[in-house]
Amino acid sequence: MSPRAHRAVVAAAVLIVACLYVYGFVLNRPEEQAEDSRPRTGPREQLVIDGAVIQGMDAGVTAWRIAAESVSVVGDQRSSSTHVRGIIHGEIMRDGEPYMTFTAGSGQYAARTAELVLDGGVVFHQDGEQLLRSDQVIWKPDESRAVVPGPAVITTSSGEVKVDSLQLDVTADKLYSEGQLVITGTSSSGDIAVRGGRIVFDPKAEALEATGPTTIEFEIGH
Amino acid sequence: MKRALVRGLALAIMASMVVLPLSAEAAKSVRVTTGPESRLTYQGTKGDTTIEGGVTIEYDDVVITSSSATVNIDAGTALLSGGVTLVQGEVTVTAEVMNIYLKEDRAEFSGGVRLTKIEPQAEMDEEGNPVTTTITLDCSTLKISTATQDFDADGDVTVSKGGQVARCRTASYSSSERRIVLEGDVSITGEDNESIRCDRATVYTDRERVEAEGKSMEITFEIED
Repeated sequence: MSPRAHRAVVAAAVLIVACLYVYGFVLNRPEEQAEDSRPRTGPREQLVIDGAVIQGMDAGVTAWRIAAESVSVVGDQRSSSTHVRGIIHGEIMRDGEPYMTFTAGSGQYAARTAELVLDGGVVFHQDGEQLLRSDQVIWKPDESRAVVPGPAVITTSSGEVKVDSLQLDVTADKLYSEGQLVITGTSSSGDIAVRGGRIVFDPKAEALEATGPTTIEFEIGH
Repeated sequence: MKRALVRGLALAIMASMVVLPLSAEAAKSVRVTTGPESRLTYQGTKGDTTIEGGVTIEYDDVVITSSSATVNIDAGTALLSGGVTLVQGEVTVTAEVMNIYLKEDRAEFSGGVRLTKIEPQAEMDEEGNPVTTTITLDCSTLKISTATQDFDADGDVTVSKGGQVARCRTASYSSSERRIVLEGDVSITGEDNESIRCDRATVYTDRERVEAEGKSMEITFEIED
């Protein structure tokens, strides 16, 4: 074989190998697996239900009921918690009957504590009227008590009452305020600030009772 | 016509700028503080706030204390009872019962009322400072302005100033004039037992001066042998 013919064969062989390489590793590359289009639910979530009504029981009686956009369950049987997103309607029960209704951004129920923690724009209604709003409310069914650890606004028929924190005793139908309580929009004397003491507020009567050292501040002459 | 309208508007705006700060200043901050064993009940702004177990009400330079109080925040009134004491600067008033009208800067006392006032005298001491005298007034009822400290006393009025004691049915004090006008069966007894009986008398609180008047007047004094 002449050297010229030899070079032509080698060149042809190299070209064929190159074409096979391009075909095998570029053109005919296996497609990657398509990503899961469903929303990631987190590694610990065991169950996600879109659009659900769930209810919590206390001593065999319904303590609360929630209708939400989605519900997910996390953890094992002993330490499971239920996460609720987009609470469109909730009910807190007293003696098995709805006592208050609420809406909230999210909620979490921990089996260990039996507490329902509501977060994000929590708004409570009673008898069809808005009662209070806050960023967080913790409902403790076994104590029949709702705790608002941060600032809350109570709506009354003639104005609003802003409190630093409060507790709602569902059995006694009383609101216990802690820290400062400011009554706004009800008086010609402007805001009325009440501090200290143990303050029990009755939103229906717009009345309060305080024991121990208490200070009331208001202005006269508006 | 247009120019007049503009001037009128400008004047109105300027007037409102003057009036608004004045009205804002008129607001009075009131603080009500209760004692450690107290119980406070608030029945809404239109209702009463009742306090038992010790209360202190403070506004401007006035401090009032009592055992119990009923405050109407909207009306700006309060009824205090049980060991009532009002302190305002040099004036102290004690009584069994007190009605206070916060919007009107006035108060009414009843039941064993005693007012004491430390009054600077026109006379100066050796260092050039005004001498002060304590004036004590006892009566059945007393109406006082907390804006001016003027007062009207009624019912078995006794006014003591230094060694001088005056008795009468009613007494009116003018702070600006520094004088108390006594009326009705007035009797004034001095340090040396000299006395005046008359229908009306004026006691000057910042100096040693008494003016007596009336249809009948009786002056009693001792003449040294």
